Amino acid sequence: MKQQIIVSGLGGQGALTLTRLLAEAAAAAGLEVITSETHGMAQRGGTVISMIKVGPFKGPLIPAGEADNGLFLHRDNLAVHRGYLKPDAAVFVNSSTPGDYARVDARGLAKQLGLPPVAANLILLGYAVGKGGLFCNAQLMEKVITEKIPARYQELNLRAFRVGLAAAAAA
Amino acid sequence: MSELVSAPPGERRLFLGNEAIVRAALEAGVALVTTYPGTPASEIGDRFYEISRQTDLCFEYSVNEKVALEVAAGAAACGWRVLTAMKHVGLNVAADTLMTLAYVGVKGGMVIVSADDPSLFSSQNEQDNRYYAKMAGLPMLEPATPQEAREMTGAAFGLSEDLKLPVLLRTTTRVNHTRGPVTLGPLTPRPGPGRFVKDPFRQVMVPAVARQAHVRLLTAQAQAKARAETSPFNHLTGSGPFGIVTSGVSHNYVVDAVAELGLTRQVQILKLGFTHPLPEDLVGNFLAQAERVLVVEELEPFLEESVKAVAQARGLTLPIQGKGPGLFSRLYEYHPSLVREVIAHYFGVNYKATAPAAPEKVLGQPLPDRPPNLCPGCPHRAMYYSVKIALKDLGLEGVFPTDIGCYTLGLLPPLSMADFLICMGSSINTASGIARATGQKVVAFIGDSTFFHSGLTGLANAVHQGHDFLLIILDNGTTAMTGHQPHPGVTLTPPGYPCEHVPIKRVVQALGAQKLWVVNPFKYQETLAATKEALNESGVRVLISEAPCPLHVHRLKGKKSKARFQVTEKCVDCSHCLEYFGCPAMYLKPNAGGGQMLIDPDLCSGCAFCVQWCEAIRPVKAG
Repeated sequence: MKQQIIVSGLGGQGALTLTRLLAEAAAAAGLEVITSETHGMAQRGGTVISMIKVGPFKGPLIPAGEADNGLFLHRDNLAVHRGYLKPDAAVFVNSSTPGDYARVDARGLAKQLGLPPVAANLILLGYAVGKGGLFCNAQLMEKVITEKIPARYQELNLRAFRVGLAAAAAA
Repeated sequence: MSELVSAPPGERRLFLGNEAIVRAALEAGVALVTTYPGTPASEIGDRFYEISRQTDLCFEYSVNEKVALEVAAGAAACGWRVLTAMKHVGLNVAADTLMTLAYVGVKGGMVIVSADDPSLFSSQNEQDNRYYAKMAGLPMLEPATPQEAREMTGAAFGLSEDLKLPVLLRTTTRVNHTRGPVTLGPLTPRPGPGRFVKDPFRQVMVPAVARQAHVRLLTAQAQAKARAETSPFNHLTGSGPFGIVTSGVSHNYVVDAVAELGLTRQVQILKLGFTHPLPEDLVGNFLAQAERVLVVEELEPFLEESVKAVAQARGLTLPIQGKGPGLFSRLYEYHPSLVREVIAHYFGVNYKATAPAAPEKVLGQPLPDRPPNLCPGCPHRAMYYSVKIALKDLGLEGVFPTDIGCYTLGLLPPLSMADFLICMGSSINTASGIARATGQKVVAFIGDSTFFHSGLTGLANAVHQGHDFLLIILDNGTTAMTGHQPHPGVTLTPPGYPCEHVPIKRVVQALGAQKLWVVNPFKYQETLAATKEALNESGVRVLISEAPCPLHVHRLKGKKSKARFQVTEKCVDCSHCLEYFGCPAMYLKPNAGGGQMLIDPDLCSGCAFCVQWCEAIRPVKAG
């Protein structure tokens, strides 16, 4: 199994949480994994990107044009980070407007269900996993969320993840 | 309990490079850790801080990197194992100490983590700190992965004690912030109290003592070189007539590229992890059986120059290249595709990179990254607004030397409140020089943590020399940009954080600044009046803008303002808020008439600053 995934968003949207969960899911599935993350000053509204490389890779960065999957927490980031994707990559976008990608209005759903806006990250993850676009299934991801997310945020994150799964099943 | 303490030996966990360093130091029995926060090193200090509250580990966020290194040096002189971590430019601040600490040496093992930042993700330069190892004469290890960060950190303590020298662990952002599997070892309990044994003729660096200490340092360097020759961190893989010498994260790209290009039987890779002193015999033997050699390293040609020197000494004439046209650049971090292309080109392999999709263009240019922004409700933006209005009302143009912190984000329009910046603390001194040379109205900005880090000496100098500028200390009660670490002036501290509070106001007074104002920047009229007064005065004036970082308050107290504000129909589309304030919660929704100003209720922090100068903005009624 080889899968190269980018998680693109704005600082504060929870891209690091998604990155960590995907990496832990890969490890839990017995796969090799490395990530590259944006920490520090490039945060709070700035463009951020993380990379997750599942499989026997050594280098932590994904070359342009070679990512198999893209999770976009903000639609505007497509213009900046689309170049990392393969032409036939599976792209999942948090967006209320349609385009040439699979989309879920994660922020709208969060609002509608009384979840905080930041929960859009787990909704997008649930949607991508539900669509079968990632290396892992929903059961494994739920197990990882239960094990790795601090107790006080666990219920919120599981709920958001399941909202995303349901959106994928309905779409 | 932190996972870095509780995770059992033998397990494999996914850790950031920075976390691997922390775990390894605990496994080595580190007793004292010091740091000044700075990306990409910040998580090292933050994890140790968390652990110090749960165990008997001694930890401090020192006031700057020089202080951090000296506190650690004192403890190491008493036999404790110590670690100090900083970003690359932090080592400049500590460089005075580093150079002579190499003469004094250590008793307990000492690891100095230098986190370099190729591509300047969050730094003012991309200097290559490997030259510090060469300049100070210290052994240096360069990890390539989180696993190697763990192994090297552990080994560095032993190496340090054997050689009686501090060891430089030189990382880069892509090692610090890469997460990967790390196999854990057992933790070592920390020792009891150390003891300072007097030995002044080895430890007091007056000229006569230092002359002998330099001799000892050179002897230790020869021993270090012998260790490097047989170090497991320097190793060969692959086979064939071509050679690659590489270190750090570049090694990972090289391994991937050589496999992808099908060159594993044509290229031999010498991976160097113990890179100073250079294992010259190992390198010489490698060169002797290669037809041509490529050196792959980010930033400066540190290895390349040394490898070429080894070839010269052995009379070898094979081509050795690294930096140059068509090869590698001294700029920025490398990418897998770049390394693949250069290797293919240099060894004459037919390889055509797949052209990535061209980035979308906006106004004829690729769309740039969205810049980070001061948060909604940030007190810095409120203070900047008052300065802008005060200058406008007085008909003055201000020159704004600034400093390093969140407030540097005031650089971009519409705030445009940054005109000159070099490094930590430079605001005050460059303000002195600019005002002296021009007589222009100079307003300098410095944050609270940066003021303690490097501002005190500058302020004393400015007062003493009679310089002429307004210094605004943006005191948000924490070191916000790097993750809310405490400093001596903090008033809001995490529970259980023991500290004596050193009030900024008293420090400023003690340094002799007589003209002093203290404001809450969210009180607009008072702040505006004080700013105008201060602008109209001459000499050194100090205005302290006191209001805590709202993110910090939220994290510590779990409280968020429930108040929200909205733009009412009174809005006359004057664009004043967009042109002078630029709060991220405010936006213009395009419509037939051009646009309608709105406030995003998800982003509005409820700080209630804008309502004080715009009649069209009013609270959202609860319910």
